[in-house]
Amino acid sequence: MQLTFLKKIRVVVSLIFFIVTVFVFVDFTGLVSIRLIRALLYLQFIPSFLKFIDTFSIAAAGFLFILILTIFFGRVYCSTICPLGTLQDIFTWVSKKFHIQKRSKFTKPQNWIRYTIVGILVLVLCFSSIFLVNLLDPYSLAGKIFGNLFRPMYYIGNNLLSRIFQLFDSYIVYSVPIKVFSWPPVLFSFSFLVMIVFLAIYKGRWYCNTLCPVGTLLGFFSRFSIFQIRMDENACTSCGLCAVVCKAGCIDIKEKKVDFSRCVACYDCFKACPEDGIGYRYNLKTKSSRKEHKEKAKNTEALFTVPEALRPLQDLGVLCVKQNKPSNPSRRNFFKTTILGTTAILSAKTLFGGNKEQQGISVIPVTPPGSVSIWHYTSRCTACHLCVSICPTRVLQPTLLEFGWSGIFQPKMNYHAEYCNFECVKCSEVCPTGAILPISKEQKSTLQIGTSKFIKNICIVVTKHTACGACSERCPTKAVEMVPYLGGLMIPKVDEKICVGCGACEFACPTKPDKAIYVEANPYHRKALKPKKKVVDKKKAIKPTDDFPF
Amino acid sequence: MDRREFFKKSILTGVAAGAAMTFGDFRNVFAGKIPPSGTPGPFDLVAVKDGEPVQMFDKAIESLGGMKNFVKKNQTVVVKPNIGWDTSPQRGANTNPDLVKRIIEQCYSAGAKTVYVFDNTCDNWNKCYENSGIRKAVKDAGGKIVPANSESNYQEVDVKNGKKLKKVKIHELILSSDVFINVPVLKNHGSTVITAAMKNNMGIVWDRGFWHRTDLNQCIADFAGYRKPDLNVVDAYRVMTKRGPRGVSEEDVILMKSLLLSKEIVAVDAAAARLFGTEPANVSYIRLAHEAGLGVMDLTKLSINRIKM
Repeated sequence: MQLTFLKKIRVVVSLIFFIVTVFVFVDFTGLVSIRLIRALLYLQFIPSFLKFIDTFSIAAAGFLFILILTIFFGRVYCSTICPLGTLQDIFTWVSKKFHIQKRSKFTKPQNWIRYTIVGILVLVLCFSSIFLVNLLDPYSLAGKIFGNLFRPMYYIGNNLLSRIFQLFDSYIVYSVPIKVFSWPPVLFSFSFLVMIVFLAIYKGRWYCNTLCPVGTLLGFFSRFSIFQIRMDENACTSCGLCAVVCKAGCIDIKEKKVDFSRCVACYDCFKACPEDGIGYRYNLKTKSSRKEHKEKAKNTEALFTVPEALRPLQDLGVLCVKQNKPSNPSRRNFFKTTILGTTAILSAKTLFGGNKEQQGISVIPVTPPGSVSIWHYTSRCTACHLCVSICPTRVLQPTLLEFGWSGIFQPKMNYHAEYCNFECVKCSEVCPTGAILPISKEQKSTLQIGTSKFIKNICIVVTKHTACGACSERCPTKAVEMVPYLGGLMIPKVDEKICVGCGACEFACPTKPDKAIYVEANPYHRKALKPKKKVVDKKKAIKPTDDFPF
Repeated sequence: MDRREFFKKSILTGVAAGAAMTFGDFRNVFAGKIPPSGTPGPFDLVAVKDGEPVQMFDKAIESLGGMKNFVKKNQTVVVKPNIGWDTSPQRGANTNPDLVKRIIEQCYSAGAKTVYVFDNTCDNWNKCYENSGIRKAVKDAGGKIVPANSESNYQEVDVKNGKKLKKVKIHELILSSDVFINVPVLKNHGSTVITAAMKNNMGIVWDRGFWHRTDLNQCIADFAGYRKPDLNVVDAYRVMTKRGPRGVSEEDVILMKSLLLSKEIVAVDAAAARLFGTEPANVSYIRLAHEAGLGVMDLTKLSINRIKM
């Protein structure tokens, strides 16, 4: 059966997913509806899984859908939905077009690395941490590239366009400020992009089949897929065309075998094969094949053989079975020591690094409304930076290590960049991992993510004895109120009970270098009281007069 | 001869120049002739009460000889309302959108080529423009709503005679347009008591933080000496009497149903202060501007047309 049309479908679907995802990350006009963004991200494996842990709802069960898809047809996710996968495919395609690298070849699986990474991640997740997940999840990596690199480039293009339009007295295209408050996320994304492009050109889907935890996990499940891509030994002429186009390097032409756990279901081989020698085959063992298998097992003279279905477990090291092939202890030890060593260094840095003695800065970073607590937030956020891209005010900014090593690159409320719009809940609506859980505008109006602290001795009113009030001006609840001070001047006073921690005061405060008012984060978000009614003495109250007062 | 110098000279000599957009109308003040209210004549200030914003504006501008006295054919105009806050029109934090719409329409009727509307907002500009209802009002009237969120659109200028404010980055449209109409909303302000015409100018400059850091009241007064609007329309229809300038709820707002119109920014702010129930001298920047000779805050010295609808 010729299934070459599958490749066309794959290309179209992957491009739709890719283009819309990139656009969601670069767009600043809010053109893409929240519903579409949610639908788009519903199928992202790790975010969906993380959200499912909290909600257990069908609304977050996208990863189950992917698993079912994998059980049927293998790693379809990797070549259609995964934005990092498509990004690599684009570069592979370009490199082949420009004849940089024309041929792929079969490589041996790096199962040790693959399953160690997944093992560590599972362990880490059990301890409610996100360590390494935010550095390896393909969607989040792609998000970081789109948000930190593509987005500024898109803005630059837009701003140039805006300037051109202005020459013709048109203001339809408005410019968007490009401000980078933390360079490391940008540099990281850039380095990763360079690496992934290099790999895509010279090693195909090396990342997906070596480091990517989603690739490994889906690869594990695809060993049991009902339909698997196999070579037809009778039809195959061993021409090797399929192996040449295989980005995953999983077609072993000598053995006429496909390592389906590494196959990313791109269907390039279907198209390449002139003989219909490769395609989906029904994977249910017939009696004869079982017999064959038993005979093979006898031939190897093992004490006992691991059943076919449990092979992956063996690879994982869960099943310790004496094998004929001796394992390589030196390599094993190498991995053990490197992993243990880096973990130790990282945790030590988390404990002893990152403390600041600066005035007017929150001890812990402020997390966005809906993130419940710093613990909930840091244990769920994979730093895809979608909230950073989508935030209309740009108050959400990526950090480096402010959340510790396990929370590397997670965004915080940066009140030096901007402040949180009182009526906006966009980040909570789009967050695909549930790090920021959905909240309503009503809930947000009394949600206290932190409280304002006033440092009187550096306030303009005290130091220069002139009027200011920038903080109180912007306060949406009037938690920061101006009260009489010396010589007819007014000075801020904070009512923490009604403060929501939006950071308007901190952003507006003009003192330099330290701010005289800042938001101290609430580790657990609390409920603020509703703004009080301001009672004014009836005699003093301003009333419209019958006649002109002049 | 700059505008300020010119203004000073007209006060000193009491001689009005004939050219458009000068302060010729002050002739009567200094000649001691104050026309009785209600009669047509050259007024320094028009105050209207008890009408809807649109009708009050129409009446007021008519008594100053119509918009054609301010906007000539093919001129470019900047209408600068207060759009500082992401709040609804009912909250009174931004200028009334109906009023803004009417002013733009009048400008076009007078033959204006283009009418630009912008504000360097405090809250997110896009949300402010939208939720204040002003974006729609401008579009309906055929004006051009201009984003003012990019520093690249601001040019640095010297503020001559500025005591604290020596240099300021000002929006290029203010520099390039022929007519500048300032349309503030009268509100309470936590530290400057009230905000109206002079303080609304903070929305045409880039770095407001500097003003706050460097004696806010003096900077506001200094700027009034740099560039005076050609017309000030103070919206006092809904007046935020407390918890200003952003307000917390509609509870902060009273219906005053008034409107002030004047070429003279200090005088219009002085009248606004009175509407707000305070003496102009209690508002530091009005006093400072008055003392610097940038205008008159003593309302008894002005010819005022008082119109009750």
